[in-house]
Amino acid sequence: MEAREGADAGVAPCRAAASPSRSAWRRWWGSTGFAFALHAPWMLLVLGLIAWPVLSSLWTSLHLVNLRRPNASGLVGLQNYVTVLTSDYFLGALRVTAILTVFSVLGVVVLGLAFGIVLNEAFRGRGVLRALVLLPWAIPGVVNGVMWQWLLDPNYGLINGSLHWLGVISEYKSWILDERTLFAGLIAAHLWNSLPFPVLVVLAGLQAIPDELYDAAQVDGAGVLARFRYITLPWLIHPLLIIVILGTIGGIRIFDIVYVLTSGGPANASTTIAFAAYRVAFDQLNFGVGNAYAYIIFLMTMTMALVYIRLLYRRGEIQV
Amino acid sequence: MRRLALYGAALLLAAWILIPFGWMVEASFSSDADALQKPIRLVPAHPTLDNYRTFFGLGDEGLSMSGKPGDSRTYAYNAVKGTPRALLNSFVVALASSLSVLAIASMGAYSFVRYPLPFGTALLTGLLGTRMIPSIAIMIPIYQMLDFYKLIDTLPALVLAYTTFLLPFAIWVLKSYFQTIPRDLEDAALVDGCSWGRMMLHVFLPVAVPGLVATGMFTFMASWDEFLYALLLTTSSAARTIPVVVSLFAVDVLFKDMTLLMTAGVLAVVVPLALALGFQRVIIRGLAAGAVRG
Repeated sequence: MEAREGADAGVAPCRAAASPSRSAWRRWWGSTGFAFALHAPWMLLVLGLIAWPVLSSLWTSLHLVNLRRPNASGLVGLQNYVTVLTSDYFLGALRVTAILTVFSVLGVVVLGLAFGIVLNEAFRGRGVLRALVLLPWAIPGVVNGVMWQWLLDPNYGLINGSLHWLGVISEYKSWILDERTLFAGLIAAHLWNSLPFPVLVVLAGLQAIPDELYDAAQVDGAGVLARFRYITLPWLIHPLLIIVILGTIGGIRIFDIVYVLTSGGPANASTTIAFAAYRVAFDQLNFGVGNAYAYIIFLMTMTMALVYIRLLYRRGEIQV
Repeated sequence: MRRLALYGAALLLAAWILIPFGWMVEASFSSDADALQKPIRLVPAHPTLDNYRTFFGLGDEGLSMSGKPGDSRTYAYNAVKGTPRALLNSFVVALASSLSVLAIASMGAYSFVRYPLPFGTALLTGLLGTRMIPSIAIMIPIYQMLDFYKLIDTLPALVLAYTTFLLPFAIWVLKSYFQTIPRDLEDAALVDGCSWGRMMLHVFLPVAVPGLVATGMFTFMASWDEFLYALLLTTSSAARTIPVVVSLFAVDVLFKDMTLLMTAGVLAVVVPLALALGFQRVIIRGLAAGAVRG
């Protein structure tokens, strides 16, 4: 009802000119009410499909809810969290997630920096290469997963084929059976898909550095390394921080490639926490514990998000 | 020396991107006999369209023996037959999601820009926080809710979920775009007595087209690519989108037809790839700005 009134009052700017007799507070109400009316649709959706689920998830996580055991129910407090945090399944998944996240963030920073710097130089074919960088970004995660399944294929994969041809390996290997190569494969797949964004962010950061700084440094006799250390890096600190934060959040969420590439296997060796949450909720149909998983992921991500938002605040990026 | 290192690095980057992708495309044009051999080949000996023909019901030559009709009626075999429908579903969902996101986000962003509220900054920060909530964290309640309303396995369920998840991002981007548009035009239109709705449609939004195109393109691609919810909320080919179909036979151990799988991958990539290359300037600017502006 309020919103409706607001919507009518919204033409106030139109009529305001014609009828200056309207009182000041009514005009104020008109614009505020109208502002609300415009916000209403997104607020309804966000409240209904994001805010409410976040609360509902917390509530359910404090209960015994297992669709396979409909008789066991009731409020159990933090018991589901204790179950999760002490289970080998979760701890294993946490370890896998941590390894994948740390190495892919490292990879994204180093490669993002390297390729961003390359793309910032002038050379023939730079335009083509800049367009090409976008290609992996356009590939859906699932397709990326099957592509790497084929690359890593134990019998006919390109990686086996080329390493064998180069003489690095004497026999074709089943990469996912060995933990090291399993992780290497998953990290490579994740990196392939997620590298375009960091490269473009570094590129944008580099383009913001004034050329005079480099000219002055060159006059002062600073070498390539010194220029990188004292000019490039300080200017790139913020973009790199953003890459690290968003990369960590992306790592916590890794799901698609695990689902199609390994299905969490062999024997949970590649089960990430996101994949574990999915399995517990929709294979075991244990919604209580599943929501505890979900909430742990939520809290981990929001911690990173808070750092991110503070960072943006300090840069004055958030303002109306 | 410096040039050499530069070209070396550039070459490495190009190889890193093109070789995995090319290897997938190559397999999609190969017969099983060509693809499955040692040592591997980089170019198919007998390029063929059989795999693509299989997907569009023009023949079964692309199917390997294990999947010929009559024997294993696996998920995967059905998935192959469901691919054209899945592509259509993906297209419909992505288009509907991006149009509703644009409509709803334009209103919100306009309100943020033109009617500053006392707690507008808090609202905007909240919106940014919302954007960071991982969709996997709220999958169970959303599943239950959509199940309650009998929306599982329908396209509207996906549109609803995607629209909501993409709104915070879209409002954020549109807000910064709308800020660059001067007020004069709107004021003139409103003084002339036209309603707010007409003013938006005929005066304001046409000026904002570049921002709307960029946002719409991002939301279209995000909806097209989304996997987790598409997996959870669909149970039959009536609503399955292309990532789900691809995943179905990627994880089916009874039906390992790599060339068909790669063909499905290529089919799933054509639309987003065309968009990305067609709108590369918009994307590069948008990605960089999105990073800085949240």
